[in-house]
Amino acid sequence: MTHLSLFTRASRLWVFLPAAALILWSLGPLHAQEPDLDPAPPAAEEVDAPAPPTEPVPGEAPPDEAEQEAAAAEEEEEDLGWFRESSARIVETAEKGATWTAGQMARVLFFDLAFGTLHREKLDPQTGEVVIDPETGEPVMLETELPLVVMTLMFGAVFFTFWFWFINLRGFRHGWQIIRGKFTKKTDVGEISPFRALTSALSATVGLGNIAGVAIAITMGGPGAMFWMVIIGFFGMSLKFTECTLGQMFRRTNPDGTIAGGPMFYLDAGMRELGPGFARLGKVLAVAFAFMVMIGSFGGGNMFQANQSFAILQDTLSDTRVAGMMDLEAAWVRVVFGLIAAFCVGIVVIGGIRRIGAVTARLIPFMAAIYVLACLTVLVWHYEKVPSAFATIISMAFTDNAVYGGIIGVFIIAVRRAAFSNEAGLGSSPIAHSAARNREPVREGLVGMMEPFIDTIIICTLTALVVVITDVYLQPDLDGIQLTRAAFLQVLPWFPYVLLVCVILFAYSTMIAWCYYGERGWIYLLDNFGTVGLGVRTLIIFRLAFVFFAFVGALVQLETLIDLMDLLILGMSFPNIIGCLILAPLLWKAVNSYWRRYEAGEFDREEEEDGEYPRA
Amino acid sequence: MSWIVKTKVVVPLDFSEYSFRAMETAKELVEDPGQLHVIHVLLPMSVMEPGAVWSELDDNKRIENVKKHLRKELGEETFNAVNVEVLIGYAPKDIVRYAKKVSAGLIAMHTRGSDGGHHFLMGSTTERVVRHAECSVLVLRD
Repeated sequence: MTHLSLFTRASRLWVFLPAAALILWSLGPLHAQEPDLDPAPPAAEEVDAPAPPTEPVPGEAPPDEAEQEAAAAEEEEEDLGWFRESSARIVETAEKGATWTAGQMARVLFFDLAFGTLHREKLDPQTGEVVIDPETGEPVMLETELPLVVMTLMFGAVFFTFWFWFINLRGFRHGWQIIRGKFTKKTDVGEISPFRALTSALSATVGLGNIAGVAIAITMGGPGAMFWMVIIGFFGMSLKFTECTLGQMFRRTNPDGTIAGGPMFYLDAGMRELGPGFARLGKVLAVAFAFMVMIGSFGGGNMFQANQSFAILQDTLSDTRVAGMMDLEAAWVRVVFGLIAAFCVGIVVIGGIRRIGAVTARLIPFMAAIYVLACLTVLVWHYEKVPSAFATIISMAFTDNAVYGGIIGVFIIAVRRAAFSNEAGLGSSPIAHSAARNREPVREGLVGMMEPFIDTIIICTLTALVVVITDVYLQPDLDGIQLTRAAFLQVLPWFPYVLLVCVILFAYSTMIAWCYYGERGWIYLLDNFGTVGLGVRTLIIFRLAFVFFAFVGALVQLETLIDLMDLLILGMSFPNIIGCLILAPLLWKAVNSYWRRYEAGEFDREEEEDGEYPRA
Repeated sequence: MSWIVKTKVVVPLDFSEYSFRAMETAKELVEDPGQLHVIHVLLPMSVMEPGAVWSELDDNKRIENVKKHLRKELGEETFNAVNVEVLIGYAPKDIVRYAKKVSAGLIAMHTRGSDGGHHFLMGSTTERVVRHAECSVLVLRD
């Protein structure tokens, strides 16, 4: 029975054909061969070298056998040569495309609010001296910018913390009560329990943003960046509270029990309540958000995850026998990994194999626990260094460290990485939270608020401590996830494998969850401009694109990707936060009324009157 | 209108006010409510839908929920008297196919549906049903 159903589901995989066609097409020859920037050419040369071995290798093998081997190698070379070459070309094209897109988007979203006034000389991290450009003989300038979106995000987070008067502190205990299901009734409308909604949202949030993202923040901004990330995580809790509450307030319950919610719905329906003038603005913001979440899901929720999964796999394999068998730096390895990643994502999102998605979602809390335990082990291993690591993080946050671009520069880096890791203000997790079974919107806000706490304040801090304690961040040649891996490797030789499993699973669940977010954007857009149902019927186009970008993500270098994905991700926050700020007065009433009832003990009485609450 | 009295009438309901108006009209047309075939077509659910991921919602449950809703909206008596069908698929296609299956003589719909008044003359579903139906279609205006 199960075998049969699996087979019939797998038969749906025909939809992979267009994807395969697309990939084959990109394998075709490019108009001109330009100098390659990636590590592919040396690899190709290396393989080229043994290709014309006219003299048999003196040694164990008799001459005729060696000749045969050489011939076989040559044949193999001819077979795979085109693949290697075209792989290098694909990688290069992906790289160029990503850089160009990032440049175009940056003009608007990363508009510098400081107008280029924050310039300073760059210092060398090792010597502490001013870096001189060898060509011009002038000191290299480090530009610190105040990007528009980053500032909006920060402003939103601080504003809502004060607007709801530190709801992130006063609602903390109540939030945990709700997660435990104390107030959930079976009759409440929704698809899943608040705890499951939180887990679903976390499966999108806890990903490589916490493991690689923190390492990137520390490489770029020094250990001090971590301090700011925690601070932003703290304020971000209020922002998350705001969006999740709104998500529940203006969700749409369909007659079949499914729920449609998220920023597109609260921006649209919420603003309509404010008057006709706002209604139009709300519609514009909702459409803008839907568009941004669609393309945003390609970036952070997809390409970055594939990219960093590949990085850690490559790193882990470089210590194994596999490294002896093939050159892991070669472009074709990237292409193969990209194809595997695309297939794994596609099998769920296109193939419709529900079980895989269900299993990964359920595994996330366990994987998070394993990761936290692993980090704690590292900390216990180096317990004597923990206080000094804290001291480093805090002191570096306040020293005007010119190596990393001063306090403001570090702060901007921290905001970007924090937003990426906990998604506060991006408007993505309200989509998951709006499906929760709840009759008080504020309650889901309090549940959602725990996300930045778990994500940034716990998981990111642990990662940062691990990286700082082991001093790996001082090694200049490590990047992103490699840094975290190096830190784990210092403690136990098999620890990187634990990390590998965690990372791959986190990345996988994040990709699947983000595909859902992106899908909602696609559906909203098409249903609005087309007809109802058009979005769902054309979903396959979006899913194919998503799978394609998973492939692209594995090809691109991290430096190229990081700006692009920040833009894609932060772009979502812009319409969302503006909408939240406009809806703030409306929300203020709702939160205050709820809080008054909560403080009066109304909910506890309700529980007593109803007898037992059936735990959902 | 005498032929309508005996014929089977398919009424697609999408829970919009207009579709219920079409239902009222259809009820007046026929002699016996048993001639009415009420149909609601659901869109397929995403694999990543939270309810599906946590196996709290599947297609059977969705159909059940819709029937529960219909029972509430139509009233117990009408709900029991008419034939109710909930399908998963694409509305215009499935409405036409269903009408053919029950060999209905008429499909009664309103010009507008759940997507409001976006469309210039007719709701998109109505438009497509009119074009593809193999039986007569009664298109109601306000």
